Amino acid sequence: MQVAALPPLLGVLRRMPGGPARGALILVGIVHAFLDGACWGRARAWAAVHASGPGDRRRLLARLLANRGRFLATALGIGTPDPESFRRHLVFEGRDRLDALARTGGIMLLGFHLGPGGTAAKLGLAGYPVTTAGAGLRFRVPAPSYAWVGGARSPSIVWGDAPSRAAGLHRLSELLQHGGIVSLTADSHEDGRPAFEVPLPGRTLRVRAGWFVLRRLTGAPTLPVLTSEIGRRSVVTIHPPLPDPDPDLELDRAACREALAPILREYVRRFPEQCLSLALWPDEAARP
Amino acid sequence: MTDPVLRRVIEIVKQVAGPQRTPAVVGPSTLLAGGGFWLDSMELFEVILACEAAFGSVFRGLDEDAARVLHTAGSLATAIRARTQA
Repeated sequence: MQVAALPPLLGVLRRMPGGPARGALILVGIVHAFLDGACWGRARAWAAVHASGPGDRRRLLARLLANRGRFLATALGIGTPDPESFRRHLVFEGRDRLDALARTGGIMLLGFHLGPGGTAAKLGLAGYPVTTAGAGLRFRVPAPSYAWVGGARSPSIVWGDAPSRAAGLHRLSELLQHGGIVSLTADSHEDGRPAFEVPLPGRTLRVRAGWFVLRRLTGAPTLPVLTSEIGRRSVVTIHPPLPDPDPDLELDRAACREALAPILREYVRRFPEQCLSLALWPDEAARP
Repeated sequence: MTDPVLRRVIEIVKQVAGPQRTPAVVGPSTLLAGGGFWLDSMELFEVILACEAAFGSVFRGLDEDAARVLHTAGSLATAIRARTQA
C-alpha cells in the first residue's frame, strides 16, 4: 500500500466501527495489489508455485491478498477485540522451551515477516516482558482507541540510521546479559548486512546479520518464533533453540541456516497465504 | 595527538575499519560512517564493544545520544571522557 496514504486512511478507519473498518482495510489491500502491476505479478507467481490447480490458485491469491489488510488491521488493533478477549484466542506452542530457558538467563526470539506477527505483544499479553527492536512501521499510526496492542505494550527500541542501530544492538546486548528476553526479526528490509540466504519454494529468504552478531556476541539461546492464524486462533510457535554459536563464523552460519531451513520450509508449505513478505514484497536481488 | 583517549579510540576505529577504509589523514573530526571510515551499524557496534573493553561500561543510555556520540572519532572520545569522569 502507498505508505503516504495510510495515515489519513487509518485515521478515517479508526472513527468507524471495528468490523466495517477491518473490512474496508482488507478491501483496500486487495484493490491496491490489483492496481499495482508489480505486486499483482508477484502474488500470482507465488500462487502458481504453491497451488495445485487454477481453482486452488485463485483461492490462494484471494486469501493472500485478504491477509494483507487483515494482518495490518490486527497489528493496529482495527476491528480486534479488547486485550482480554484477544488473549482467549492466543495459543502458544512450545512455550515450555521459553519457560525452561527463561530460568537460565537472557533469550533471543528470532522472528520473520511471516504470518500476522506481533510476537512481542502477544507474549506480553501472556506475561512475558519482551523487548523488541527494529525500524518500526514506515508510516505514522493514529493512536489506537481499542486495540489489543494497547493492553500488551512491550518496551521497544526503534532504530533508523547506522548509529541508532548500533546503539540499539548495544542496548539489546545489555538486556540479554541481564537475563532479558529480546525479539528481533531476521528478514527486515532495512539496509542491514546480510548473514545468509535460505532458498524456499517460490522465493529466497534473505536473512540479516543483526541478530546473528548479537547471538555470537552474547551466546544467548536463540529461539525461532513464527506466528500464524488458524481459524480464529492466533498461534505463536516457539521452535527449539538454534545450535550454540560455533567459534568458526562460517560453520556457525551454516549451522543456523540448516536449523532454520526446515522450519521455514514447513511454514511456507502449511501457510502460503500468510507469507506476505515472500509473496508480495519486492525481492531486493531483483532490484537494479 | 596527545589525548590518550582520542588516540586509543582512533586505534580501535582503525582496527575495525581496516587499512582499506582508513583515511590517509585521521583526526578528531574524521567521520566514523559515510565520508570517513565508512563504518556500518555492525562495525559501529564493534567499536562500542571494543571501547567498553578498553574504557569500561561507558555507554549506558547511548541510544538517546547515538547520532552525536558516534559522529566522529573526536565526539566518541569526548563522550568516553565525559562518562569516565562522571
